[in-house]
Amino acid sequence: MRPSGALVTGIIAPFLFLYLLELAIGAGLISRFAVPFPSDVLAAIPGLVRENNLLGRFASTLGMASLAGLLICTLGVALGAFLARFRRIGIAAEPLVGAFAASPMVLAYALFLVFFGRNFVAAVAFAVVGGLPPVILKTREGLSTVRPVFLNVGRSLGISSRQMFFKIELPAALPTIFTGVRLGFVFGLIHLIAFEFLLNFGGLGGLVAELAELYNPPATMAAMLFVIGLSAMVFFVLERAQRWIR
Amino acid sequence: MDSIALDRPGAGNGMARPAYMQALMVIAAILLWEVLARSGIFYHGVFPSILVILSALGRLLASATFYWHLGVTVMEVLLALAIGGVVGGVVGFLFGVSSFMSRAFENYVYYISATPKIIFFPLVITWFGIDSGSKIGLGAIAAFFPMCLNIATGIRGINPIWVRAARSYRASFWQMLWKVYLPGTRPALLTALRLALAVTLVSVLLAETKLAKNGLGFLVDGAYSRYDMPTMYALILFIFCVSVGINLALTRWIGETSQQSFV
Repeated sequence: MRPSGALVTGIIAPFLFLYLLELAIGAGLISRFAVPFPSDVLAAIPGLVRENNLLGRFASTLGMASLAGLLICTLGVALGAFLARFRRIGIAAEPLVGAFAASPMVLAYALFLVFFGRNFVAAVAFAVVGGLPPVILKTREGLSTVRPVFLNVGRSLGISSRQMFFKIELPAALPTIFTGVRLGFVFGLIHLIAFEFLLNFGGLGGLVAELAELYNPPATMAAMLFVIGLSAMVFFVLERAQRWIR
Repeated sequence: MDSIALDRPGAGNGMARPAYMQALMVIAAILLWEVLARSGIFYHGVFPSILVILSALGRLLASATFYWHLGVTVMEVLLALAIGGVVGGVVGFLFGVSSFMSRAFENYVYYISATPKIIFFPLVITWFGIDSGSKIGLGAIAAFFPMCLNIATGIRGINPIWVRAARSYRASFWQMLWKVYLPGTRPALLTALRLALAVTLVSVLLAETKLAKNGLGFLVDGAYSRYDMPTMYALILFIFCVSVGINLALTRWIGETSQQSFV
């Protein structure tokens, strides 16, 4: 299949932009102190790997994000299922959970420091709290809107409540639940990296903050690219998984 | 199961009163906090009583300095929203009307949108310094993504018959914009504004906590640094209540506006 013009343009344009940026900085049109040479950013990556343990930090952030994601998924689905089962509580709680999701939760990072200290438990707990609301809301929505015909079939077969939940309701609600899980993972990752950045702690977010304080723009930019890469990778994998589930 | 049993007719009678249950939940949470604060399980300095927090909130609301910092944050958020909103709206419009632009570049915006915007703070500090400029810059970056992606989706959702009808009347670009695209994307535009406001507020406040001389985020960071927990809780409570209130009001307004636009 021949690649379309748009696809080729989309691939070439960033490289062309970086080349023009290199020329503009070299010609003095853009201050090299404001924007580092793209070639310097690229050249800073081996140094980051050797001296700043870039891969270890990447793994640290990914590991904490995975743990937070697992907890977000487990707790969020359990709480959402609780709210779906007890509908009155669910109807009353939904706007409160929505309001919680809309609030700038990320500002409460100081509270997590106060309660857990400056360690990975605080970082993971912060990410979990940040990522829970969409999973709770979407799980409740998914379980509350299972087609009645599925439930009637289950009842006509005389299956238990437990079987009804695991064999009928949960599979039927899975596409909706996964929309929440995807959002929850992304929110959790955003909270985690923000925590690392604000406190100069741990993985990639901490690395960006440390390099910025050392005033090393090329290395800072290179570390930022890894944060962007990690976020995009997680987003991409979850999106593919969601399509597969649907 | 309860969720099935409650589907029967009449089961909704008790559900017409979620406000009572919401009030009960909020009261239960406050009481739980108060019991924990007085139980001695947690250190008083870390877990102050609600009355202490409300007293700190009262002191804050009575102080002129607080309103000055509030004014700085509001100004930064509004300017960031205006800049990021306009740029995001223009780029989103281009993605919406041109399938070439969309296929070539929209994926970049889509995937970068999942990045925590606070990591761009070192860049905007270099460009705009530590004053309000860097907070506005970061807020504008944050506002750009929801505006761009929602406007693009909104434009693509416009009924093609409207566009063809306007073109058959040889409508100019500005006529198309004012008479077709803007009214057609109104619900998407309002949703984009609501989302952009939320992320802009978060980005500005975080930037203020990281490095600033003014603003509510600066006050939160200052209270934490002094270990003045009641003031820190009071500030967070104030910010939460205001942002939730704005979000609820916008959501309700968008709902009403969307209904009107389709009547």
